[in-house]
This record gives sequence, structure tokens and C-alpha cells, in this order.
Amino acid sequence: MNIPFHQFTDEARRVMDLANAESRRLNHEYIGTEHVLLGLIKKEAGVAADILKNLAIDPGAVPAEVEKLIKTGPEMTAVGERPLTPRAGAAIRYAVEESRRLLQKSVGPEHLLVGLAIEGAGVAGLVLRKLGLEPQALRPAAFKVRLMQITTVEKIVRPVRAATPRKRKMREELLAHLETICEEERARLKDPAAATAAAARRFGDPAALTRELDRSLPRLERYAYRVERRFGWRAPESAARYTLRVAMQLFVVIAMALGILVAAVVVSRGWNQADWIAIRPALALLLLLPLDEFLLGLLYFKIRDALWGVFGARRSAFHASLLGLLFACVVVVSGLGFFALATWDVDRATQQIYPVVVAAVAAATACISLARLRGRVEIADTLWACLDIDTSAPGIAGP
Amino acid sequence: MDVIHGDKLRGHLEMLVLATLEQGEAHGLEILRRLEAGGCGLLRLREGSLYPALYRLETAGQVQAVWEKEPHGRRGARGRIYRLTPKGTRALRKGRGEWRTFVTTLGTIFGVPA
Repeated sequence: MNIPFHQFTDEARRVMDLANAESRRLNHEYIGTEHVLLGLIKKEAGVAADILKNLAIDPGAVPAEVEKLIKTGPEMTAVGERPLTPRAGAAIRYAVEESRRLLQKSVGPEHLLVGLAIEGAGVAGLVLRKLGLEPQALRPAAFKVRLMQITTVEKIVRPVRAATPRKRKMREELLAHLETICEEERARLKDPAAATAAAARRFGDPAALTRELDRSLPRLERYAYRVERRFGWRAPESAARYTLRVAMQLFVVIAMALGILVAAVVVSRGWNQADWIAIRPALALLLLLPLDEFLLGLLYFKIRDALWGVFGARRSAFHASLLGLLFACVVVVSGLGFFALATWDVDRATQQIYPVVVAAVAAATACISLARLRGRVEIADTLWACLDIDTSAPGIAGP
Repeated sequence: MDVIHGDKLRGHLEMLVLATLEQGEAHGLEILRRLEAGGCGLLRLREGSLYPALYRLETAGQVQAVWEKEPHGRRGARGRIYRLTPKGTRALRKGRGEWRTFVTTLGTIFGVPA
């Protein structure tokens, strides 16, 4: 099982150490969801106990409930790291997923708590439900500060008429500032809710900041923004819809260019039979390019999501390679199809099989490398753009 | 003395930022700290407003920015570190001259000669 412990915060690592100690105390040979939960509610484990208290759940009641469901094992002397049960592994993967959805680079105790609740069927999930935890109430309570930070930033940045690379820069820089002043206020005020509100006040009214940012941009940025609005991805459209839209735009552009070319030939010297042969490759492109854009574009997104395990896809290098193979097949078929259409001679087209296969392998490799290289940034951009900023998070107030 | 709110600083914020960067490169929060120290707590600025000013200065080539390395200890978002360019230094010198003329002229009329 592939658990990214290097992404854990110091607090989350301590939770796992405490879970290991709980397992040892109960003479168990594994770390299950119950041990993680018992680790989480310890005082030294950070915020999880406070989150439960805010939801009117007494963390002190957890050990008794856990012990109703499990037995202590026979006396034994096993020391060291215990393996995770499949359910505990699943809960941790949910926790990692939660932190990614909140655009965080590390996993803390609050994510682990939500992960346990999402997993639900393990001992921890059963205990939490027995103690009256409402799963839908947990996320807003556990991620209150973080949600306020990212919705504030996105409220400011989203309406700015700039292209994505510039917005990416603004988001990260504004978020860094907001994170720091939240910490400062937290150290000053102790109460997280009051600190969050104070930080938001210091930062300023989002609408006013949007206007100021918009005015600060160079003129060129406006054009980049318009081009992106026209041809780029528009949140929250699906990958299929987006690639289909671009394919249709591509078809129209090629058709128009071809139309102008034909019209120019007809007007200047009239159409003759030989022109049909000359125009055949262009007609083949008109048919194949939009189709390829759609299929290959869609496959690119599927490969990226499989490589990174996001947007409902399971993280699987094997699945990604299969999709890569499919990508290469599409390139081979459309490459041969192009030669067949352009020369109107299937035999001559099949002679091109070797260069076409080489091109297909190169294209598939390029596609997978691109998905690896650009994936993280693209996914973050998408998550930002899809963030729900209308449900006003607590603590946001004007100056 | 009354505090000076952000609205009154409009048009001057960029000069103020350039002046703070004369002390050396800094990220946004450090610039605000320097402004606060220099203004003896009389400047009231919405902190977010600093960034539009920095972006304008960056576009004008008067400051240059680089991303900071992994933020100290925490694995959060990164800030950017701003540095004065030679163009910025020239703009600052010019701005100081203009300010002197402005204050002398208006001060004479107000009856509080500088």
C-alpha cells in the first residue's frame, strides 16, 4: 500500500506514532482505524479533539466506545511499526485526497479525522457515528480556517480579467500572505474564529481588491484573457465538453481557411480537374484534425487523471499506460487514414505504417510526459477555478 | 494625530513601496512591516492593496520578483521576494524631487512653509 507519509505534517506523524502506541497497548498486531482515532483525540495530537468538541462530541467518550467494539489481544512482545489494515489505509488515502482538494501540500490531523469519517465502515467510523457525528457537518467544521482562506483568495482573483498563469501567481502569493496573517492573529487571539475574522479584515474587502488588481494589469493581459475565454477551458465544463468544443472550433477554422483558398483559386483562374487532387490532403485534415483533437485531448485528460489519481480516477500507472497505448493506436489509425484519404490509395497508405507507428509512439510518450510534468499545476488550477465561492465562509467581513 | 487611511495614500503607495525596498529586498509582509515602522503606526492600509501596487511596479520594470524557496517550516503557499531595479531607483529619485516641489508649493499656500 502506497501511503505518502512524507506529506504528513509533524502533528499527523505524531498521530500515527500515537496510533502505533495504542495498538501496542491493546496487544494488536496492526494499526486499524480505531487506533488512528484514539491517537487523534490525544491532547498532544493537535486540532482533532477541538473539532469534535465544536461539534458537541466528547472526545473523552471515544475510548470506551472503541473498547465496546474490539477486544484486546493476547499478551505479546511485538515491537516496532505495525502494518495498516486496509480500512485504515483507505481512510488515510481519503485524508490525502481531502488535503489535495483544499489545495494543501501536507496532510494534518484534521484531514485524518475527515478521512476516518468518510471511510465510515471501520471501527472509527462506527464510533464517530454512534457518538452523533453528522458526516456533512464535519468538513465545514474541520476545514473552517482553510476554507475561509481559499475562498477569500478565489473571491478576489476569479473576477480579475487575467489569463490563468497570472492568476496562478496572484492566488499563491495572496494565499501565502493570508496564511501568514492568519497565523499571526491566531498567536495573538487564540480563538481561531476571531483570528480568522481579524485576518480577513486586515486583508481588505475582496471586491475592492479585485478592482485594484484588475486595474494593475498591463493591456496585453486583457488580450490573453479574451483568447483564453474564447478557446480555453471554462470552469466547470467537463473534459469531454471542452475537447468537443475545441474540435468544433478547429473544424470551423480549417473549413474557413480552405473555403477562402478554393474561392481564391476559382476567382483567379477557374477550377480544373487537377485541383481536386491537390486539395485532397487539406480535406483529409479537415476531417481528421478535429476528430483527433477530440479523441487525443480526451485521452490526455484521462491519462493525467489516472497518473495523479484525481477527479474520480483511481491512481494507477498501469491504467495510464493502457490509455497511452490507446492514444498511440488512435494516432496510427488517423495517420494511415490521412495517407489513405490524401492519396486515395490504401496500398500506398499502408506502406507508411513504420513512420506512422514511430510517430504514434513518440506522441503517446510526449502525452504521458506532459501529463506528468503539467499535471500538478493543471489540477491545482482546475480545483481553484471550481471552488465554490458563493457559500460565504465564516469570518469574511468587509473593512 | 489622526491615522492616515489607505484612500489618502492613493497614488503615493507605489513611491512608498519603492522607498521601503531601498532598504533591501523583501516580501509583501516585510514591506508592510517597514511601512508600519516608518509611519509610526499612523498608516492604515488594507494589506491586500499592497499587491496591485507591486504588480504595477513589476509591469513598469521598477521592481523584480522571485519566488521564495520552500516557506520556512510550514509547507504552505510561497510568497515572492521583491527587489528594486535600476529603473525603480531612478523612479524613486524622480518621485522624491516631485514630492519636494509639491510640498513646498502647497505648504507655502497653506501657510506652513516646509
